[in-house]
Amino acid sequence: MFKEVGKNIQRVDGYSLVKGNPVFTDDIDLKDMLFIKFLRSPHPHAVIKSIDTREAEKMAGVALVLTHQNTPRVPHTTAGQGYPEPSPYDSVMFPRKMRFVGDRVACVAAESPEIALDAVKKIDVEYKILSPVFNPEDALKDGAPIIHDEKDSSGILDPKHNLVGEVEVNVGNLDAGFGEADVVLENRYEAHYAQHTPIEPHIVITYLDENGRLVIRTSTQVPFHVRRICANVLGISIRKIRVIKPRIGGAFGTKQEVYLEYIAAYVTLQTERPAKFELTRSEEFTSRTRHPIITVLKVGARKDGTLTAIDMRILSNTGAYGSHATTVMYNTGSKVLPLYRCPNVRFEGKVVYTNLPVAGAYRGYGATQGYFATESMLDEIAEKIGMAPVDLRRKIHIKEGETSPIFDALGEGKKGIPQVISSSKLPLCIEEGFKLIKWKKKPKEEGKMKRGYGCAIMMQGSGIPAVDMGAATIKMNEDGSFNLLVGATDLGTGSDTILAQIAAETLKVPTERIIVYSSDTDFTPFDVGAYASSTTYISGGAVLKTARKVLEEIILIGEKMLNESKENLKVENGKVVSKKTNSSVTYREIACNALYETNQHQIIASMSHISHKSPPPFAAHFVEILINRGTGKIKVEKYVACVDCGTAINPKLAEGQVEGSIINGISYALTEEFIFNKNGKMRNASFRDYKIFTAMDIPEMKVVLIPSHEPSGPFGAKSVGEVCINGPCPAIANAIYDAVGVRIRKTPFTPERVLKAMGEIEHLKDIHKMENY
Amino acid sequence: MKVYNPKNIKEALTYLGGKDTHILAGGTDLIVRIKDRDIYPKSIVNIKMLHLDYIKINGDFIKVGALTSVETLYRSEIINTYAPVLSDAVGKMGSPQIRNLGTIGGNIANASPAADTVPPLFVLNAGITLKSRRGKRAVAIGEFFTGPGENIIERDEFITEVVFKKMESDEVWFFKKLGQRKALTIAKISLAFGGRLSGRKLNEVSIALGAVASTVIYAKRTADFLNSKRLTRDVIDVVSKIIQKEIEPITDIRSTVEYRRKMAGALLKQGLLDIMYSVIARQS
Repeated sequence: MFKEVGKNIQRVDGYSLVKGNPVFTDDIDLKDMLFIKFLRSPHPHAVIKSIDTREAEKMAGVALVLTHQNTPRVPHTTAGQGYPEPSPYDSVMFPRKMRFVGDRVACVAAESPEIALDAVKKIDVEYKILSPVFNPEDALKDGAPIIHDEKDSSGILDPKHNLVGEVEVNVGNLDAGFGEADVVLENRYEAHYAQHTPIEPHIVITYLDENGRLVIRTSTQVPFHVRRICANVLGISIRKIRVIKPRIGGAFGTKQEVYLEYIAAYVTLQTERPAKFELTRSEEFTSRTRHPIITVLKVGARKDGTLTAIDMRILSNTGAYGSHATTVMYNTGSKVLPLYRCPNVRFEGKVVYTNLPVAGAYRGYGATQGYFATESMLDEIAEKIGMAPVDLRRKIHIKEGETSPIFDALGEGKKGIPQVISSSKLPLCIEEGFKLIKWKKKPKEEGKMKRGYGCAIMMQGSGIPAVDMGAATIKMNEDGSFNLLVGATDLGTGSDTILAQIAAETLKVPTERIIVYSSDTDFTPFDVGAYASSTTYISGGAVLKTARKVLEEIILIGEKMLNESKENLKVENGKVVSKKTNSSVTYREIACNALYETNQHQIIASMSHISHKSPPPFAAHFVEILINRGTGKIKVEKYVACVDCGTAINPKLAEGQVEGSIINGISYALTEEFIFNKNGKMRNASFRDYKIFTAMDIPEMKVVLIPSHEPSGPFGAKSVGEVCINGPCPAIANAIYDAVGVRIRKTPFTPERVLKAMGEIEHLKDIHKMENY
Repeated sequence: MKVYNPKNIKEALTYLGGKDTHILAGGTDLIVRIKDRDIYPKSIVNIKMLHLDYIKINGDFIKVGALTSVETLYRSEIINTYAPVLSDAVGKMGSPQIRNLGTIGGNIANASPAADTVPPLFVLNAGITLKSRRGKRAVAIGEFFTGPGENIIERDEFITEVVFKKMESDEVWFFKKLGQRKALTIAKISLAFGGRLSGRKLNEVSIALGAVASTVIYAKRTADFLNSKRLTRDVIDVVSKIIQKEIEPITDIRSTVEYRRKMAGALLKQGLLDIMYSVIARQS
């Protein structure tokens, strides 16, 4: 059995975080630091005719004003993805054309944030106003305003129709499939904008080290992509840049973006002074968001619940720039459709620009929006064929040993890779969850509170197959401890701890003997970063390989020291022991021998890891809600999530990821909403007006990890960071239907929308005029 | 920016009267507005040291010092016993941090149409005591507000005390608030109700609503309709429609006209039904 893996080992960074040690980006104060503030566009679509910065530059304390006139114009994508990037090159440091309210016009670097803010107001800009387009369906039409019409951008499929990318895949015979069906339903589902709201907003500090090299200390998910993208945009060599990721106060995808770093870096390079750039909360809201997606879904089923055809068409709104545009669109198909056993499937996706805030990566990455449609639809099908929702779920999902043609047909921004499900305990998840929710037959209660139950099943992936790569280095010290150096990026998820546990288990020492250092491009090996639910599976795989290699080296030295062949040796508790004589050498003795005595050398290894598959974690969610028929308010009474994430390397941290996803998801389903004015400006860009769940709102949650063994994962592990964000929207929509008999196909389920659906309010004016966006 | 820390009321009054002079009580509104660069005060008069933090019984009346924190109100036996409608409302306010800092005087002076203490104070028909170098005056809370963020306080005045009559045992009450979530939420609509009940007959009804107009308002026509009526399901159905006609809410980022109108009826109905059922339960 395992000694370190599967245990709730304390986080390696836990004490320093709890004590408030200076661990975050903002916790250092550098001499002569400059503070940067943006001037942002007040118009959703406009061209800068002229820009006059003289008054701002004259102000005492202003060091530098940057605009499109004095910065390099290098088209790039801000999406921190593998290279070559799948997102279009449609961004420059400071554009001349403004594409949403909040687009970057200029920035001021000054001696204090207050001076910078005052100076920003002194910049005089004359705009030529262009007509905007907000509705994604309108954006596709002939004659719609063209948002990206500049010659030097690339990777946009059809700029004239604001079309960033599209995809269509066909599997089987769709018409035949619908022909065989006893029931065919078609509906439109809409999932809305949302922001990640990390407690720590985007922040970066840049400075020159003692040798004049640029150091970028940044709150990022992707330190190596930051280095590559900054080198490109700044026109300097990668070797001149060091990126350090300190502790991070949450990311959830929004920090898989690179767009503040190169501006701060440019200020530092120009002034030779440290610079700090931190977004305000209101800026954070329109930094990056979840892609709103309209899904038109048509499903055919037989009376026994067998699915005969699925036709899924999505329209994704990427806002002003195409960050993660095509990959999120692909994922809505590739992470959703393989869950369902169905021989005839069509997936069609389009992703368009609009003059609204920029979308990007957000936990779930398109799958969340897709599952809202499919899992709502399954309940509608179940009702039509007279089957209990849970019985239909039992029947239609992919099982261990099975494959789906979608794995091959759809990848991330390109064709996929075929794979067979090598681990799934989804059937058990469904049974256990169903038991725990105590789903009751609806009593005929006449009161104002109506009770409802709903469920949803879901999957995600573990890394991007044949794309994501992580590497690790382990070196041994003379006290028998090990430095573990990883490019992997702990976002507060606890991955440093998990990777240490994997190393400790392999090297047969307690986790405390592993000293983790991560995410520093000068000192740690490469890793793509923390996204696509990859860290435990991909980076963990690299740590496992590296630790095994170091262990081999240790045994080799043990053979010589004990004068015993490998077959007669075993490793336990930081010792190499002879099975025959029981004599042993400690790691300490082995390390000292290697460093000081015989065949002197450093015991060290580096290994890299990729995977040709992306084993999905699975989950079944069940929810019990109460709806107040008078007010339309929904109270989540109980939420049950049963999750198969393979082996949970650290169960407490895995449960934390599940609980975090559920709260994140319920909050998205019930209260979080972007409200725009007629100009496409977000009206509620503050925590006062954009309501995320507080501790008071959190329902009773029951999380059960149902272990499986994924043969390709370290110690059988799969991912757990994203999968559970996919459940709350459909599970709650289904529970609403169960409670009051109305189907809401547009998120979020605010009391206003619930009452409207119930026919209690006739129509909603003003506030929701923009809701189609 | 100059900050004054007066030790007594007399001294405090000497600093008041200037155009950009603001009073600091709990700071839960003022500091936020300064940080948002919504206001640029030239001077701030910090009144925290003025010993205006008290809750006293004075015959039939309760006197509450303007600096009494929301949390103190919530924990007060006196308020809980003699002004339960206020006690209920302050329990639903903000977060522990905000309740510890925010004061009753500040909540009133800030004049938000969504202020949580105000509808109950309307129902209690509270009097607001104001002091200035010119002397002291009392104003009924129903005449205190003139618009969103606006009230009748002169530049040289500040609130020192809130006074209201003890509620009696034949009085019935409720406070309802709808927000976007459970804590730290600004009301989409709030409703306070007070009245006397003999048997199932209502009298001296007072209804106040928050967040449906530019200030907290009385629903007078609705209250009049209920006076001398016996509480029945029919009466409740009718009155919940009357209140929807009486108010003129607006749409803003928190909610819509239609929803707010509907909710005025729904909240009144739920509260009155609860009263009716408890009477029936007592009688049987």
